[in-house]
Amino acid sequence: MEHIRKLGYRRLGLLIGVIALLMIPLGITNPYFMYVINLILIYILLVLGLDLIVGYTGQVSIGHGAFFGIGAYIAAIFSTKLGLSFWFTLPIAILATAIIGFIIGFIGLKLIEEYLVMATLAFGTIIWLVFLNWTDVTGGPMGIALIPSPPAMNFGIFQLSFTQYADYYPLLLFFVIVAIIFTKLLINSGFGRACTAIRDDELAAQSMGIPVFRTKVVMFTISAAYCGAAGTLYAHFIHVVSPETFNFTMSVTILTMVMIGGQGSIIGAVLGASLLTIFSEALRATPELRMLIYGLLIVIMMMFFPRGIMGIINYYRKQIEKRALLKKMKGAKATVDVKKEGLGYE
Amino acid sequence: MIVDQLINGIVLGSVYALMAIGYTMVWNVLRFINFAHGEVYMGGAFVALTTMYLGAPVWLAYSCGMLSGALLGYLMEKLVYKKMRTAPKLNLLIAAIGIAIVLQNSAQLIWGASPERLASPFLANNVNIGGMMVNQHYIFIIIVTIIVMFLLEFFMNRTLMGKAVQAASQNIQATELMGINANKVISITFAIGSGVGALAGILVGPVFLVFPTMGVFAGLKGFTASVMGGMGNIPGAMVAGLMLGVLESFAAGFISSGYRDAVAMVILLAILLLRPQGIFGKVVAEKV
Repeated sequence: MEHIRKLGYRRLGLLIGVIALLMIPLGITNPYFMYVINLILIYILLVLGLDLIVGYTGQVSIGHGAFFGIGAYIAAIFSTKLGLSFWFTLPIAILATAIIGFIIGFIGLKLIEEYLVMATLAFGTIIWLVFLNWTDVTGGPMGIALIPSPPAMNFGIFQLSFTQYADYYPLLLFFVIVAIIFTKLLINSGFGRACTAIRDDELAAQSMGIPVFRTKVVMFTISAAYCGAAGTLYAHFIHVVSPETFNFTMSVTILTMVMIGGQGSIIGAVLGASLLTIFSEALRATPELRMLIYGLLIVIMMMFFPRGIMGIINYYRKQIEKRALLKKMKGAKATVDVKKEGLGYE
Repeated sequence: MIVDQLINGIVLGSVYALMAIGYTMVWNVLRFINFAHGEVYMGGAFVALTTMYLGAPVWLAYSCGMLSGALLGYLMEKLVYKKMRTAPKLNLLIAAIGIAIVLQNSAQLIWGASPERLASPFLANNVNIGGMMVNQHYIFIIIVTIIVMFLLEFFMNRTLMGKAVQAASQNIQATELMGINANKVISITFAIGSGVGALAGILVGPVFLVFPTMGVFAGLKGFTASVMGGMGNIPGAMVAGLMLGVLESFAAGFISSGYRDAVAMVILLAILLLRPQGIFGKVVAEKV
């Protein structure tokens, strides 16, 4: 017992959480559920990526669906035409999306607020039109099919042959965990703090000596690279890429997930991606009403809960803390520790 | 060929100009992009279609469509945007996109996804202009656009309400202090902008058909035109809309029809980066 206490409840919780996550494929036999869970993991990557630029740097992009598409198409082209395996297409796609993200960021981030929104919208649409019309390379409206699965992996105890959805799960989970750790390190680094400073007050950040434009461009590049990685995973997971997946709606979906989860929060990103994906899949039973309810939900969330789900959670947490503090101040004997515990989100 | 493309361009451009007015007017008073404006364009066309189906004459159906578009814009503002006046811009943007999703899918639910042709009394006839055969409906579109532009010019510069709208676009707080009902001004702005947008949808209905997602690209183009003309500049938006239509039509005719939509986007980017105040705008120093 002492041992566990030393480890700290939070770390224990984390450990149990990871083990539980790894056990999921054992408990779920329905391939459709597995498919949805994998999809959620891909969306989490996308949302984490977009949140870096929207939530942490305060620069809004509604063109990130295009980066997702670039990653997917590069993986598709390199694997079907050159026969490269997943482990080669992944770095190529990440690098390529980062380069394109850098170029777009370098051109576009000179703009502010609404003008940046419009510019990213235009970029996203242009890239989508290239997917649609550059038939020789992208296959036009038909897209590219028959993208191979990642090569089988052997870990001694268990093997991943990538013949069923459950096999993709550990791979995707691995990338999501890597992405979460990387995000956490990034936002707690000096660079990440510079980004947050820009978000809160650009002028003040500049006068503190932060190279505003450069910081924004670098963050935009990283953010694009996340989407590129997600795109590669998507291409090898779904085996087909076609232009309509990566249109304006995709960019909006990712941004909505960021907003509904709560900007600038890793847990928010995970919650936003999971809940919206589950919601939209659950409504598949009533396809006519599906998007209608989805749209209504977005409007209502934005009207009444502007800071998303994390906003609601934080609000109640503060309430509880406040009550605990009041109780303490009244001289009650109860010793309530108000130290931040639990979600671990500031 | 060239004259053909020019006429096509002018017709397209008239529609973009009408769409751009809605974006620009809303931007003027609230400094936000109403991303659901394309859906008003679609809604108006569908209402016109239904009223015509019910046996109403063309002029009545067209006016019904336009009025319902205005009503839609008004309701949008009253029910959603008004409650979000103090919300961050990003929330407004996402809410607008949410409204667009709701409207698009309601239309699909009510009218179905298959494109339908709106009737027009002029579509079957051609006019001979200097040896060129031009569809009468195209002429009708151009004439209606010109009339609407003049009416709008008159409204904005000669009527008290129009002047109030102008005042609100300069400084909405000051407008309220002057005893003008700012909420009313905003409502009127939304209603007029949306009415004109719905008219655009009705005018193209007979040519490009009516379907639930018709507003998406039209919205983007109208929006591009409003940026080209300089956000908030109504005459600028009109001229820019025409220019955009002509440019796009030439690009589609002489380069590649697949990339016709890319033309507008490239223009949008170029304008944003090189002349963010728009072609006709003046440089205004940023307030710090």
